[in-house]
Amino acid sequence: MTNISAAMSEITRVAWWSLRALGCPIGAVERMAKVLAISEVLEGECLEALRHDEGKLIESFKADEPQFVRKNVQYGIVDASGRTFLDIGPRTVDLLTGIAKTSGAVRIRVRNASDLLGLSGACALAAHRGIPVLSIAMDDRTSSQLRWTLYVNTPSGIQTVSGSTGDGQSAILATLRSAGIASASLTDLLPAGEQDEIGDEPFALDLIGFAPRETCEFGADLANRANAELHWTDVSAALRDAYANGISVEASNLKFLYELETRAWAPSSERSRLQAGFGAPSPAS
Amino acid sequence: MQFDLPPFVRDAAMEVIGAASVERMKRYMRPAEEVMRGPTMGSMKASRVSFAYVLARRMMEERWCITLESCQCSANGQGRLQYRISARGVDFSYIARAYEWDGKEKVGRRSDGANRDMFGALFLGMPSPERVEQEFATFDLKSVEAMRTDSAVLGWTPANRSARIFDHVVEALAAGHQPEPGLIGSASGYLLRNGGFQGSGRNGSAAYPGIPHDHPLGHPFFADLFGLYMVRQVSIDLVNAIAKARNPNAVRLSDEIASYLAVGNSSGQGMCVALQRWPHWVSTWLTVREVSLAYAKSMPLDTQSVQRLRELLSRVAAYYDTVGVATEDYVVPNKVIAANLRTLRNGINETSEYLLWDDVANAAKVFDLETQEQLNSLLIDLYPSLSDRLADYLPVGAARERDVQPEMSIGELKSLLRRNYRWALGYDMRQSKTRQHFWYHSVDNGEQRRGERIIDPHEEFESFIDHIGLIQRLSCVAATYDHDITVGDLMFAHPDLEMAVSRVQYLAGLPYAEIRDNLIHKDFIPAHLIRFFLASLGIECSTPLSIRYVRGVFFQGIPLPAELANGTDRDWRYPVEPAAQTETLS
Repeated sequence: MTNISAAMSEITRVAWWSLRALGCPIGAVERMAKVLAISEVLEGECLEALRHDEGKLIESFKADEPQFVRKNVQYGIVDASGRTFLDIGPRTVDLLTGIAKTSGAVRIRVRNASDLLGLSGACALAAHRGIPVLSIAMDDRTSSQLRWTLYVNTPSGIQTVSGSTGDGQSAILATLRSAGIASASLTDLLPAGEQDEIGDEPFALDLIGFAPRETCEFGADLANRANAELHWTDVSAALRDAYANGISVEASNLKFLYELETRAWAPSSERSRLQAGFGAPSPAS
Repeated sequence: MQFDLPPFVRDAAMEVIGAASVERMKRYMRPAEEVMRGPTMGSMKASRVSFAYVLARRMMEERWCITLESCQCSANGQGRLQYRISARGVDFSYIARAYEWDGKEKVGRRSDGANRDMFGALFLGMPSPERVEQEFATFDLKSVEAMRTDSAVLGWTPANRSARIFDHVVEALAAGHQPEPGLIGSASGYLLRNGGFQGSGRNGSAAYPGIPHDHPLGHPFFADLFGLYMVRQVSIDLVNAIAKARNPNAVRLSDEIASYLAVGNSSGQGMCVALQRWPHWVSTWLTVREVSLAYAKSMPLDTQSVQRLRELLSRVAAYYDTVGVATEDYVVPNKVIAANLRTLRNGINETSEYLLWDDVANAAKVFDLETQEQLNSLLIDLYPSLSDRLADYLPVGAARERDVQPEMSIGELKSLLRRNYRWALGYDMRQSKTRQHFWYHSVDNGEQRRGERIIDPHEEFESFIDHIGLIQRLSCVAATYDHDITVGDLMFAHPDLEMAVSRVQYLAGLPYAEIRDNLIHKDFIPAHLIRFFLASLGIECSTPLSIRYVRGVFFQGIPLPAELANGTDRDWRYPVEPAAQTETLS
């Protein structure tokens, strides 16, 4: 395995075409490419997923349109119809942030997605809009633990705090309160009870969007626990570093991204070459 | 029509000219429907608010120090050059690798791939000798697929020789004399031609948002344009070095001729795609230009400004006269523009009937658009205190963030569409000629080309240029939603409209944001927008060689490094070739 440095702008620029080659519509690709690049910084393995799951992703973009059913004022369900989260994520975040900004906190359960590709990038997008977002999803495919991450916009940029649900909801509630997101209805928002559990359904997750706020700030009490059971990430700092210094990616994954891009390029022909901008050698050169 | 200026522009204008003058100035701003047409935009000329001129002013005022630290060159043209640049307390490096001429003309298209006569690398800082060697070794690969760099490099500057005069100049110097008078001007004034700056992440180079804010090149297009300045400097140092390698007694190119040199440039249709993808760039550039122009037009003629404009008109007319290249029939010949400018000059004096510069601009409407826009560019030059301050908006406007506002109601979105896109919603797209073309990337190194629907393949992967179709589609879909539904609901069901929704939302309130022409129409001429982009960057003498390809020069006449270091303030624009000067100016 050989790693090389890729630029953030390079990934977003090339992915603009690569994702189209996988079936992403042109009008959605700008943001999808950005979510992919951000997620590569925060989670890694996103470019690798394009390579390994290429066939699945192509099928995913052809799947039925997802459906959203609003169960009540604070809860709704998105049936992803087998689509990739790279597609479902940004549009669900639009839905979630739209509701949170106009009606207050809301939980949206996403079911039947084919993966969770781009989860962190989509949630960072919501936090950037001033909506604190809590995601609760399966830790990995082999664990029964649920992993949660809270994304908030602090005065110094977007930060996340993550943990797992091994100790129930207490860590989540403590984190939310530390960020000043506590409210009387908080526990109502969190998934609870047997029928509300995500359970072992692969790639199901809950996204909870809270009422908008310009900035949040985690309390000092949380910092003391961060090294033990919680994981703290300065998203904005990670992105600044990625823009300044590039991202280390596996060479074969980047090569595949470029290979995908060329699938969106038209074959050469005499007619095509005649349509190029340049016509004839410059007489003055 | 009353304009709402972006807050930064309004505040900057208030600071320089005061509230009353700002209100008066706004009355002279041109409406978007007049400015945002392809032929008008394509007629615009570089001005002091174009990026190259903003950069040049900064280099002169801040006395950037550019030193050739090493130069190894052989008689056959193989060379390695390394420069140190010191500016604003930051040291950074530029290296260049020149190759022996292979006898093949390379015009600088993307489809040429890595086959270039020269490659340069602009570093963010000072690289180690090992890092420099690594970059030279990368250039020597000459393979698009294999060549990679990293975030230490701002970008590569591939360049190609002017096949017509590069060797002539070298031979003249090696023979102990300067090139014959008129030779350089006859070949558009350059020895090396830009092969397309490869930066902002290309090949792994630094992403522009990652450039430190206080870096001298941390400004839109400064890295690209400074790279061009360095290509021009390499062209001078390279001919001197090759001549010296051939004959130790060779003479150096005189400073007078070296100062006259430019760097050549050719650009194609990809520029139109960029303009459509980043409409806030268009708005930013045009807002700076049009506000500067409106203020000039609102001002009365006085002795000083009349004298200044007459001088500028004379110089520009002389400059146009020196550019005698063949061009397309939809472009006004340079000789005609030169003659028109002289006519204008002769009509402007202290006793003429004009009260305001607006009267002069109106009088110029008897001429073609290119003459009018050249006059407009020169009017901007009359009041530099405002235009230079407004140029500070260039990085501010470029940083405008694009995102969907999902909380907006559909009713409000429809209202924005009605208010800002009436021109697009009323446009009739039913006839096939209105949708005849689509643009695509070719496997020939991704070159942007134009095809015809149904006839040419790959329409499903067309580049985005059809903003009218996009807006009409959004309007149709939005019409199926009730007013009180949120945009977030619409986005969930129609994520393919993200590009449209975010466009409508983030451009709201910006003047001059949308090009009011149909780029996929059978009769649309891409060269109009290519020329506009290039003029905004600061090109001179842009001359279309087809409807899809434009060439011209950058930085012709710009001070040499020694002058920059000495803090020169000479007005270097519109130079006349040294040997031809007396004759042309008479």
